[in-house]
Amino acid sequence: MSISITGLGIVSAIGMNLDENLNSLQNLRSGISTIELIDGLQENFLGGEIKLTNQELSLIAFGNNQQAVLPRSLLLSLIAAKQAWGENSINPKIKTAIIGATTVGGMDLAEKILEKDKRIRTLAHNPSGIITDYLADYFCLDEFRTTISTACSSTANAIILGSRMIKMGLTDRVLVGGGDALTKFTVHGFNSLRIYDTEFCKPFDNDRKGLNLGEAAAYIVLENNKSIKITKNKKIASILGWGNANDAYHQTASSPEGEGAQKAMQLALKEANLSLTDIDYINAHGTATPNNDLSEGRAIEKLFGPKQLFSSTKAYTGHTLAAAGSVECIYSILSIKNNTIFPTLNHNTLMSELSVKPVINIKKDITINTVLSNSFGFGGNNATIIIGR
Amino acid sequence: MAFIHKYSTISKGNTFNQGIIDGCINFKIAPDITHPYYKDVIIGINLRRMSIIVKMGLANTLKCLSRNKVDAIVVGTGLASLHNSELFLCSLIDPEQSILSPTPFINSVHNTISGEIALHTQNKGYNSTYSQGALSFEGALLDAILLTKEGKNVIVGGVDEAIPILDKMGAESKFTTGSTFFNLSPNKEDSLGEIINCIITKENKLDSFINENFNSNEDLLISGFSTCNNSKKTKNLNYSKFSGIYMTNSAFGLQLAVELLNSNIFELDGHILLSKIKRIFIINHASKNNIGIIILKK
Repeated sequence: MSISITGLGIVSAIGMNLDENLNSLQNLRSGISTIELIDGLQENFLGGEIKLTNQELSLIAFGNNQQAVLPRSLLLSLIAAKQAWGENSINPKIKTAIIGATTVGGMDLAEKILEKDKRIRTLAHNPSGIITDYLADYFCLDEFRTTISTACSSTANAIILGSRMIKMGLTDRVLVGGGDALTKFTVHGFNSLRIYDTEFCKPFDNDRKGLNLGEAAAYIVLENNKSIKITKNKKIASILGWGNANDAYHQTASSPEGEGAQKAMQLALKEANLSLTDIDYINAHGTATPNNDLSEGRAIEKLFGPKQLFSSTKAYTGHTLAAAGSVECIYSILSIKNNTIFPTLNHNTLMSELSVKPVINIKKDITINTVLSNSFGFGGNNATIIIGR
Repeated sequence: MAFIHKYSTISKGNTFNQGIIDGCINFKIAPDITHPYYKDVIIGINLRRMSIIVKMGLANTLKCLSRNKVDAIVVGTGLASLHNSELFLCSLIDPEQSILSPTPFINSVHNTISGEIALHTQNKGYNSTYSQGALSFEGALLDAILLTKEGKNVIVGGVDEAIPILDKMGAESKFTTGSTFFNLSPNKEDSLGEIINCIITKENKLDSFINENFNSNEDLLISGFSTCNNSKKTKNLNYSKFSGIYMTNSAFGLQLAVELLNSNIFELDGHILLSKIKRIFIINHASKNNIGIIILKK
């Protein structure tokens, strides 16, 4: 059973489409800056902010600014999903599902209403399913629809569900991905946990202090062979394997030895029927929190040994929460297509606890056929996908 | 393939101890939501900082455990912990609070429920959370069915919480709190029923689906409303009448269906039931334009 990726769509702080994202990655251009578009933040925060207002996003998504009242996560998701879906259309011969993912949903609207009116009708905008419902109706996808909300691993788990549904014959094609806008709720939330760096985040650095959040949406189209025969879409890459395991260690933190991370990576290798040496590069979760990078670093070290090539792209985009899994799935595909490892930015000092070293300079003298991408989250959630040619 | 082995509901009436038919429906007066004494059910854990929604999910999970190892935990929730979302949102605009407590933020995250269930049962297997409005449980259930096809034993459930704000949002019905969980496995032995399908489709496709698949001589239809909008215009058993309205109450409907399949009841809430029910269709049309259909067979 082959699970082909035939469409890609992405908006992030380093670009409003695939080409712009690739260009920024190749030119080591970070999108992290002082957050400007959220009113009423208690202090200055650095984040991977897309410097477009909701009016401007509405213009891109709809050709007019009338839809600026929609949640920002939805506007971002629609722009990315339209790029991924492209010229595809519904077809009675192709069963098509849509699987979305978000953590904040319409929380930005809730915050705005809350400021105006304390009697609040805010939470009406909170339901996560509104984005998938909107996209499903927009693209006329009237079969299976759902939204996964497993914090920072949400889109990775969405890709996993889509792949499993195709493998088990439940669907022929899936539009899968997700989006999260920056909100006061999440910025202050991570700051209250004391893991929000006041400076530019430094993944896998000995002196890392924490993450910078970011906003993004990324969607991909998955198809089985039957669907591709009808759509004639070109295969861009393939989903080869996946794993999901729980750390069962702490509400928000990962276990020090990265037990869940190791298990997720092992399950993905087993599903893909690959050995450790088949993985040319790991796009790590690498949030730059002291806890994640130690836990993930140890898991990579223990499983793959000290020579494994890996990097984190979080210092380009910020941590885009639910979107991180599909954003980094697309970056992994760009690594394969361009035989390039996009480096870990802002790195100065190796972590004293680890023998593994992140790639810190762009690496082009290499052939990349297979990439493993990690996404870990609150609730002990560990998700891994493996992408191949 | 997906066989139900255990179930547990916390809802109106004493459903946690007696099930839905005995604990809720056969009551003469509409009962209030009845929480179990969580300290007696969730033993050895400090419950002080645990949100009500996690307590419900965890208590139901513990009741659903069997001798078989659990390989996966999947939860559906329409709104997660609204209480904590509201707390954290309000603390953001409270000028008195210069230092925010992270606890409500952590507790507001949707997968806190499945995560805490894993943490407290030390389950290191597959873990996921679905949130698709009134079809959140159907998403979780489809994943659970896939997991049983992959050979796994699964705990799957739905949970939602009502807070006073919900009543101010202009909804026609008053929202309530409730949760139902199941133990599913690929093993038929000693099972209480088999889920043979879980579909999400458009409302306008329901009629043709019922016409093609439903056999009124041996199938029973229950739904979240008193009349199911299909061409047969059958007045059907309405599970929402007993569960109250919440986004994952089709899980309550599914447990009611399992209880009916395994009972010898001829009459329930004024409905005469078939003497031998072969299949039960649980129709959820609480989501505008979109229908969830779960089909259960003996």
